[in-house]
Amino acid sequence: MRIQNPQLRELFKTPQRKTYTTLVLTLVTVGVLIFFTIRPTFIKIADLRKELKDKKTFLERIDKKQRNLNYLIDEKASFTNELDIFSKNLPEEIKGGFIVANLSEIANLQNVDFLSIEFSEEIEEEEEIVFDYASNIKKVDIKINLAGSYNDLENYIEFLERFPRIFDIRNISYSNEDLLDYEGDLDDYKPINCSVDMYTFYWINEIESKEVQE
Amino acid sequence: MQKKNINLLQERGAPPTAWERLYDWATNTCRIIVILVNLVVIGVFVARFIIERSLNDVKEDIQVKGDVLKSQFSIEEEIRLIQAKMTSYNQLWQLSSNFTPSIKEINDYIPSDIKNLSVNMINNPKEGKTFAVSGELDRTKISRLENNLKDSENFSDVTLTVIERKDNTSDLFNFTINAKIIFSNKRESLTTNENTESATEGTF
Repeated sequence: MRIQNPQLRELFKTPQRKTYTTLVLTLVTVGVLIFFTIRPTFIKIADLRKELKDKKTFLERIDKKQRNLNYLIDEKASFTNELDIFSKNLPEEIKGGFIVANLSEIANLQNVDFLSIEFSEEIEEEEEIVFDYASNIKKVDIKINLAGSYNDLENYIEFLERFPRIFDIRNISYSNEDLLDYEGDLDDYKPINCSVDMYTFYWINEIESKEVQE
Repeated sequence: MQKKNINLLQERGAPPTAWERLYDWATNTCRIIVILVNLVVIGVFVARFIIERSLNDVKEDIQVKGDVLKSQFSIEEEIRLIQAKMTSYNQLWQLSSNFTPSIKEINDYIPSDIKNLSVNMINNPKEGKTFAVSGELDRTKISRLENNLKDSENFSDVTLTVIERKDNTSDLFNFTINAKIIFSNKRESLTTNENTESATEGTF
């Protein structure tokens, strides 16, 4: 290739000049490469590596969450019956009919007369015990009247306090009725009249949804 | 025959000038530096390409797995709800009353011949559990009942608040005893109550 520019031709006149010129051009090129290519690329690579590390950590969390979720889905599938029973123990409505049926059935089992029951959702203000999801729990006040022997009533209370549907007893009062004062049939005589004031609970669904974020 | 010269002295030229040294450096060391810089440039671009590809792979993975998770969102919510309910249930269970041992112990102490018995047990969140027992008994049995309650580790502040003779012809006294119940509020775990669960299975 013949150089047309006379100044450039002068520059490449001797091999030494040619080398010096090439050297200068090369050093300029190297400088440009270092400052405008290598340096920004290194910075970019550092940023990319940081982003890659963050994304990998996030991916690990997604994997872990997926594993946990799969495990819980399997567990849920294997405990379907238990969960059905559990949902009856903390139902999403009062289910007063079930409460009456259960309390009455327990009374039959313990040979106690189930005399009356009264429901109320208006709870007097008192010091609330704080616990997780307390706002999702709604109380129902129940008052029941019973009659039976000491032992039977003891067993009834014990049964009630172990019953899977929680009954939190607030007040128990009982008194005996003297046989001499009793006017009814002797076979129906139950020496103790008992009144139990208690709470039971149901669940209100107000859990906030949390979107799965990227 | 041609004449041969033997020179035992080392040839010495003029010392190289600065330009000549620079020339030598440019044709040797500098060339290597230039090649290395070019290699570094190529290496850096290759590294960037590899990292960008890895990053894209990870982003695609996140996208795919995130979509799978989003598709399971309703199941996750359902499981969260179950977990929340179970936590609440356990806490309610632990915080709920446990009068059974107290009733059993009090009834053990109350004489069977007591008249006009009245027992009142209250579970107050502020003051704890208290009870009051009243009735008609002779003086000895009232003292025994009071002492039994005082000796028990499960009751405190046992006080005989009322005692008065029923009438002049009787040995019986009206009495009232107040006390605090200091039984542990901890209840047995529900899992141990298999009999309870099986007994009530039919009522649900």
